[in-house]
Amino acid sequence: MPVIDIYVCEDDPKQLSQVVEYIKNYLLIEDLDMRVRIATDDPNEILDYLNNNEIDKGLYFIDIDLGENKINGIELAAEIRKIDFEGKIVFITNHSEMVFLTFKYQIEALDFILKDYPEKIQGRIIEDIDLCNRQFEESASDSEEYYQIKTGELVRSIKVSDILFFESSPVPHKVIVHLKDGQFEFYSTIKRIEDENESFFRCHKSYVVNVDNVESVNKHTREATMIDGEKVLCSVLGTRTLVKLKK
Amino acid sequence: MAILFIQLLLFFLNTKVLIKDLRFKRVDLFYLFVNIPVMFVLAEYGQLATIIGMMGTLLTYLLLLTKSFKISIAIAAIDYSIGVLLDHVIDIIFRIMKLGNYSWFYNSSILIWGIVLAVGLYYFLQSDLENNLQKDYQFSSTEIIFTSIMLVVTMSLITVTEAMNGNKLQNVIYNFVIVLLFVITFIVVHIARTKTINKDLQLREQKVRNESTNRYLIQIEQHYNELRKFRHEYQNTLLSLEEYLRTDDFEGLKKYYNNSIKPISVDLNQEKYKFEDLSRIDNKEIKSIVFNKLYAAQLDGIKVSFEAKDEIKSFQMDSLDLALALGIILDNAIEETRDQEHGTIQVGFIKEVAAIIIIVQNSLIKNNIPVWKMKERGFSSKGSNRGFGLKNLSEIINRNNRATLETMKLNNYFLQKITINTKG
Repeated sequence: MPVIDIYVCEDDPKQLSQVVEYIKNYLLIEDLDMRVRIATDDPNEILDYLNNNEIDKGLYFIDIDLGENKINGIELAAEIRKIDFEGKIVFITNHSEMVFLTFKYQIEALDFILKDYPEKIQGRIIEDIDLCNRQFEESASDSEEYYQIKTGELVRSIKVSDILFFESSPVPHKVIVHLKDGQFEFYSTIKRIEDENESFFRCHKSYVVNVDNVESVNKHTREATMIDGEKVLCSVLGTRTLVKLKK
Repeated sequence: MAILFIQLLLFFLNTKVLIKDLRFKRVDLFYLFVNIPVMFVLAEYGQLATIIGMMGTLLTYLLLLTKSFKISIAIAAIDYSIGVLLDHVIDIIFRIMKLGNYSWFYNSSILIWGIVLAVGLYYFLQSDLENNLQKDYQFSSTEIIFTSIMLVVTMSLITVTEAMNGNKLQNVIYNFVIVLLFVITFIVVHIARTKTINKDLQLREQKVRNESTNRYLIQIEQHYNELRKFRHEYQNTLLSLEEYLRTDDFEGLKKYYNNSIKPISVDLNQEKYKFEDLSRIDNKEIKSIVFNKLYAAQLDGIKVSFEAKDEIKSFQMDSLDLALALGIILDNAIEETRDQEHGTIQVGFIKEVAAIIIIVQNSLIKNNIPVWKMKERGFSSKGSNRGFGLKNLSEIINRNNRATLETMKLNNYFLQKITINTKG
C-alpha cells in the first residue's frame, strides 16, 4: 500500500511543533505507513510542493488564520482541493473562526479540531489519522461505479447505484437528478446524459432512468415506478423497451 | 338559428378563456350534447324563453366545470356582458348603416368580432391577471357573487325588455349606452381598487422592513454594550496581570488565570455573536430575511447559526426572488425543527470564484419519507402544511436561470442549497 503524506500548515511555531509531535509520536507507536512530508507556516510551500511533485495520498492539517498577507486556511484548502481531489483535509481552528458549513460542503473536510480545548487535540489528531487511513483503504477496495456531476466549482462523484433518474427542468439546459436521498439541479441536457452510462435509459423525451433502480413498469399507465416509489412517465416506445430491459 | 349557434359558441369560447384552461374536458361534452340542443328547442318558444334558458344551461355547465358557484356566476356574468355588448354594437352598426338584410354578413361579423374579443381577453388575462390574482387583490366571495348576480339580472332585463318592445333601434342604442357605462364603471372601480391595494401593500412592506431594521439595531446595540463591558474587563485583567508579574507571583498568576481568565474565554465561545457574519451580506433584503427568520427561530428555542466568511456584494440574481426563496426554505426549516427537543438550523453563505452557495441545514427526526414526497404540494409530516412552499420554491428558482436548487435528506438533517452561478 502506498505511503500517505501528511502536511501541516500552522503559523504559530509553538502549536506547529506541538501538532507535528503528536502526529510523529502516533506514527512511531503504530508503525503506520505515513510520514510528515511538510510542516510549515507558509501555505505557499505546500502549494509549491503539490504543484511540482508527483503526489501520493495526502492528509492535511490546516490552521485557519495563517497570519497577515497570506491566504487563509480555507483558501489554502480550496487550492489543495483543485490539485489533490482525494486528499483528506482537517482544519485546526478556534471557535470564533468556525465556519461549519463551509468546512463541510465547500471543502468536504474530513474533520475540524477546536483549539479551544487543548487537552482534546491529541486524541482528535489520532482519530483523524485512523479515519483517513480507513477511508483510503475503503476507496482502494471500492468497486462502486461513479458518475461525475459538476455543480459550481465542485465535481461531485455520485454512486451510479444511488441515481434513480434524471428529469429535464422547465428551464433549458437545466437537469434535475433524483437520488436515493434527495435531488439537485445542474447544467446539462437529457440528451447528453443518456449516453454517459450504460445503465441509463431515456424512457421519455424528458426523462432518463437508471434501469437498475426501476422497480416496476406499468404498461397501461405507461409509468415506471422507482425503488423509492416515485413514478416516471414513459413514452410508448420507452415503455416497451424498458419492459424488455427489466426482464 | 345560425346566430343562436354562434352565440353559444362564443359563450363556450369565452368560458374556456376565462378559466384559463383551453384543453378539452369531458364536461365540455355536456355543453355540446345538452346545452346546445336544449337551446335550439327553447328557441322555438320565443326570445324570452331563450334568454332565461340560456342563463340556466350556461350556469349548469359552469357549475359542472368549475364546481364553484362563485366562479360560475362570475364567468356567466362576464360571458353574458361580452355577448350583450357585442350583439348591441353590431346590431346598431348594421341598422344605422342599413345593412340589415344580409343575415349571413351579420352573423359572420358577430362570429369574427367575438373571436377577436376572446383572443384579446386571453392575452389580457395572460399578462395582467397573473399579478393581480394574489390573495390581497381578490374580491371577497360575497362581493363577487353580488356583483355578478346584479350584472346578470341587469343584462337579462335589458335583453328581455328589448325583446318585448320588438327590438327598436332607439331602445337598443339606449341600452347599449347603459351597458357600456356599466362596464366602464366596473373597470374604473377595479383599477382604483388595485391602486389602493398596491399602496397598502407597499406601506405594509415598509412597516415590516422598519421593524426588522429596528430589531437588528437593538441586537447590534446589545453587542456593543457587551463589547464595552468586555473592554473594561480586559483592561482590568491586564492591570492584574501586570501586578502579578511585577511581584513575580507565579503561583498567584496561575490561580488567577484558571479562576478569572479561563471562564471568560469560555464565555466568548458561547454563541452570543452568531449573527455577526450577517454584516458581510451586502444586500438589505437578504440580510433582513435571514436575520428575521433566524431571530424568530431563536425565540422558538431553536439553536441557530449563521456563517459567511466572505463579503458578498452582488448576488447576480433578482434579490426579491432570492429573499422569497430563502423565506420559504427558512420557514420550512423552522416548521420542521420547532417541535424537536434540540432543533438546530444552520445557515451559510459561501462565495466561490464562479458561484455563490447558500446552504440551509436543519436537524430532522428520523423518518423514511423520501424527498420527492416531501416536495409534493401540501404534504405534511405532522398535519401542518410543510412542503406547501416547496413547489413555489421550484417556480422561483426556475425563473432565475443562474440558480439551481438542491434538496437532500441525510441521516439526521435536511439540507437545502441554492447555488447561484455568477460567471458570465
